[in-house]
Amino acid sequence: MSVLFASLIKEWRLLLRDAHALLVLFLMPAVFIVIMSLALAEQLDGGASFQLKGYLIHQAEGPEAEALAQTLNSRAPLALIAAQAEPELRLSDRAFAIYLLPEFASALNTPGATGITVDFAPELSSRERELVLAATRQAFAEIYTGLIAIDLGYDDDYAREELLRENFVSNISEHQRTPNAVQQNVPGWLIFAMFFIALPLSTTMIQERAERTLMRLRTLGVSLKLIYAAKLAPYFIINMLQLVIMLALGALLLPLLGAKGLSLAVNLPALALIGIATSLAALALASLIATLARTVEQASVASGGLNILLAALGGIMIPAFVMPPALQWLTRLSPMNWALSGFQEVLVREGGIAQVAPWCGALLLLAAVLWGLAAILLRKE
Amino acid sequence: MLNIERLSFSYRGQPVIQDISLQVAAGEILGLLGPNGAGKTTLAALITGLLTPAAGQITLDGTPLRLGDTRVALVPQEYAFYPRLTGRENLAYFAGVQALAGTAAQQAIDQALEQCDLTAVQHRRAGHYSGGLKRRLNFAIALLRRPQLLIVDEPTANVDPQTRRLLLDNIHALNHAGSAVIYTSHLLGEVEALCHRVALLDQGQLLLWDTLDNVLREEHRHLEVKCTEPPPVEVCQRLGGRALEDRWWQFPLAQGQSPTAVLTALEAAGCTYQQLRYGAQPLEALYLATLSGKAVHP
Repeated sequence: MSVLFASLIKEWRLLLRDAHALLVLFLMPAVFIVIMSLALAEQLDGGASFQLKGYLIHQAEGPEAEALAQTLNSRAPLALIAAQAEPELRLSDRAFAIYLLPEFASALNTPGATGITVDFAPELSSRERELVLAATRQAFAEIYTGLIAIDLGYDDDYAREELLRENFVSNISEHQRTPNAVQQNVPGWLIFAMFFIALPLSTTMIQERAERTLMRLRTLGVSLKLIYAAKLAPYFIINMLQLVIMLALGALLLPLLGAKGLSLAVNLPALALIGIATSLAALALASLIATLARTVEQASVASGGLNILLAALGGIMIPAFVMPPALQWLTRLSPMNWALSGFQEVLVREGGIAQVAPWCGALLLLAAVLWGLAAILLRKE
Repeated sequence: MLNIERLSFSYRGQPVIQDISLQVAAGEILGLLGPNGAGKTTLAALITGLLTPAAGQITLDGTPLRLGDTRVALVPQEYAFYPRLTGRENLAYFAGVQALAGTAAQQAIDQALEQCDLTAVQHRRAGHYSGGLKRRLNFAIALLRRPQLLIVDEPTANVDPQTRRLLLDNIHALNHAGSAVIYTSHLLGEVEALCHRVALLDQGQLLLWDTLDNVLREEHRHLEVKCTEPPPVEVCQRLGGRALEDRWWQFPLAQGQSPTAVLTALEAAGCTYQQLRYGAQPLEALYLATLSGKAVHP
């Protein structure tokens, strides 16, 4: 017991005096979480905060055009300001212009005629163009349906409720919910940082081997199992600290900076379970890297490179739901994606232990396989 | 007593240690010599149990040695400690893993610090130590439990004279207290000054294993003569002489043989000489001669 205790104290001291490791494990993910959550808020948060900025060039006359202009101004994703003539369109400022043409009124009564045109900045994505067009078409459909209703002797409400049937389609599926920027970035960069323990863990293990400290310990009768157990335990605690600190950052700090706060009124045992499973998978990967690498340089490149690759592949850097379907399938190859899916089951979909169990199972199975491989390699060595 | 009997070890089919037998008595210092790759480190690893021999056995006081035997301590050539821990923290850790706790541990740590003159720097990080202080800490770890057998691998490589003296004094002190020591070094003068016996390894074979007195003073006595002209070949062959540099010739002396007999034989053959060198062969010359001749010595 004293051997394990002495080893734990030693590992803690080593880790707490490794400024680089602490920066990588705590400061780096915290900075990423803040920057990425704020930077992607507009793209991922949707709702009122998601707006496409553009111009409304109102050249038409008549009450219909006036009503349409008001409707367009009230469309949630569109943020319009009035402009004259042809404004310059830029992605960094206002990226589209909706023209209500002078012939709007006459075009209403002419089948096939055009009364509205939309112009875009060249850099604007097709996805955002589609959004602007859809919002404009929807606004026009609302006005035009109202006109038909009035022609038929009904009022506006009848048009909205009986002809447009806006409530006919309702988004109530919890599983269709996509994470907002905070729900994406807090667990994402937390997982990235948890897997980054591979860097300090593998380099200290290799240093011990190269500098013959491990050999000396073996001659003193300290078992390899105990040496590694003592080495892994502080890093597991570090992972748990990362979990608490990064979630607290998302819940408490990000709202102060203007981002949406992370709600922690979720199933905490499920959250702890996915956190533990992620940590064990990260520790196992670090152990395998430490066993395979011969030098500190090899370990640094392997752990750093692999971490970035798994993060890019796993939807940590770019959310999986914005990727094309083929790439979305590829994200499933990364254990970071399994961990992210588990975290989002809890944080986004308010799932419980049953919902995170498959992801935890996959991570724990991976941990068992990686540790098995590391043990075989270590025995051969 | 350490007893190594017919020890062999191979790595990937290549013999690394070949049928080695030797003993190290309690209170004896054995100088383990040999060029790089001779098998010295492998032999140390076999003694400490880090490697398992293919054949043969190693016992200490009649009991087989196994990995983790607390009777044996190894001081590796590398700085086998943690640079981010202080000197005292390092000693505390190594005391802890040897199940030393409480007052006993504190006493052992204080004593090791004092013996290696590290008390003043005990709270400084070991990574900030000078090379000499690092060597001392590396050695101090082995002093936490007084071992019956201490294996020291080049402890004085690249150290200042003060640290060298301190380390050698500590080895002497341990040895006087009854510990056996296996001392590996390339500094042959140091081995000559410190060791009671020497063992010379090359390519896994034991070329020489004997007391230092025997090695230097008896069987390897010789006479070196600087001649004005080369002695006749038949005289050289009869006397076992060989040419050295700059008209020097070396003639071995058998046990009890007087140098005068060699000089008389040379004079009889008409040789005149200008200078003479007579005495024990330095260990370095013996080392090089043995390695070049690969003569297996019992």
